[in-house]
Amino acid sequence: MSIRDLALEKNLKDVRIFDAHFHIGESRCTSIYIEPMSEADSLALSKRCGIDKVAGIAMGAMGKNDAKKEVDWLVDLAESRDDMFFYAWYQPRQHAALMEQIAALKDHPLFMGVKIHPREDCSHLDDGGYDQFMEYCAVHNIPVLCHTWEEEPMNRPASFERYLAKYPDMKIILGHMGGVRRGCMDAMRMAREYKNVYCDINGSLYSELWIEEMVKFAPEHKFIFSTDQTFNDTRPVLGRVLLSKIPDRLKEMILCENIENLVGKKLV
Amino acid sequence: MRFKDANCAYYSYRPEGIYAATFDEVKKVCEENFIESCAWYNATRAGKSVRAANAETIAHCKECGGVPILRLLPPSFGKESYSRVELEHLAKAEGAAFRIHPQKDAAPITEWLYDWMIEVLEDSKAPLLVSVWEYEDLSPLAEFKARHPELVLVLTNTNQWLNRQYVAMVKKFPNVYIETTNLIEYYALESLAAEIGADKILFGTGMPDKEPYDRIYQMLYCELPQEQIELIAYKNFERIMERGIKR
Repeated sequence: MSIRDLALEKNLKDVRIFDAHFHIGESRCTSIYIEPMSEADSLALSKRCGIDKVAGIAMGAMGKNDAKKEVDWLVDLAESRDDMFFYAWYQPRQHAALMEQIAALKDHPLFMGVKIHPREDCSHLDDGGYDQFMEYCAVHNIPVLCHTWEEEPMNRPASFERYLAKYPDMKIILGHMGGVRRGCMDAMRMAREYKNVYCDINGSLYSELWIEEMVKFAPEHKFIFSTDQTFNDTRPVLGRVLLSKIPDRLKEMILCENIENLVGKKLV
Repeated sequence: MRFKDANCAYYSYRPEGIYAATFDEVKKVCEENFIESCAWYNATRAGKSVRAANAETIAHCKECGGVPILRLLPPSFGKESYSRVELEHLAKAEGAAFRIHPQKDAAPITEWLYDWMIEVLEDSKAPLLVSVWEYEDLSPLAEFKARHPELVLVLTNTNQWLNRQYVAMVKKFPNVYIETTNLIEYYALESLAAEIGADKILFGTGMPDKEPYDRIYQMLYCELPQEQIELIAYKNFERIMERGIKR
């Protein structure tokens, strides 16, 4: 039976699905209404929709909060469950505390990498504030997941070119793959040109690219599935992959294998 | 599973990146994805007059039984827009719905600009579709709606950054609906059905600028009671878009 048919029958138990970009915790910094849900309920919803495990990001780490404390909370949560990995957090204004925390966590079995969100942290990829952090991640082979959106000058995908010029093999996941069309096209170009640049497909809803066409613009092993919940609904991006006409083998890669190969560990 | 799509369009050519774009291509995708009927809009903006593009949509809809959504320009220039008699015929006899582009056509919905057309829309109950993405702030649209309670307004392509505004519009004013194309908010269908009612939400895919799979899956794994799912999936479309008009 095809993956599409399994999805239509709500029988996804044999399809491995890992959500590589999953916000969790209190939504303190958001300027939009987000349906409140407990961590347990949020993870249970993911399961009901077909997702096996997630890579959590502490919602409270964004913006003018004590990010270190929020990441500690997230690590405790991940350790208490069997369905969750975690990203650490970095922002330039809390440099010392967060770099110390990243160093302490980087060998943790549930560690996925570090999330950065220049827009929410009032930072800018181009102003040098991330230089030391990027160097550390490149040297230690730590994946960096960055919120990218073409219309936001502080975190356009192409801004990573300056880091890739110095560290061409560093692992970068372009969150939302730049969102709108120009950003998506840049993200896919960079995924073609650089060995370890990946496209996180949530957010590409506004790119006027159907997934059947999108996968022709970059190598198949460069597309990563994620939902961006709880900013976004659990189901739309999942449906884009599961119900599309791309081959089942490619669906398996996008839904789980590509991120496993990127972080070098079995996730599901 | 059956769906009727309130926000479906087509192009006369296939732009790069769009897997199914022409009327026949999009129709085939609909058939493969349990979408029985659509409200169709010709999204091609070059090469044809608006009247000719609309006429093409009407012809397609006559063939497939869909609801034509016609691009509506204000009556500023007689050569490009419709006369009152023509508009009444389209709204009533043809059962058409209409779409305005406040930003793209530089034609915000105001009394001085659309003049008698507003009266025709109100009298006929023909739905007027407008994309939330054409607004940074919905206040002008809300203020207009307050003066025209009978106007049937379908807010398409909702924007999560304006979710406090569009939800308030649906709650505050009669005859305002939303469709699902961009309902990406967390637990969106369940949350919005609780807030504004499932009778105010129409299933819409936003094809061909995006795929329908996200919306199908969202409906399939939706945690609402069956009767509310059916309202969103096709019953609201039958009531608001088809209006019992024989096509």
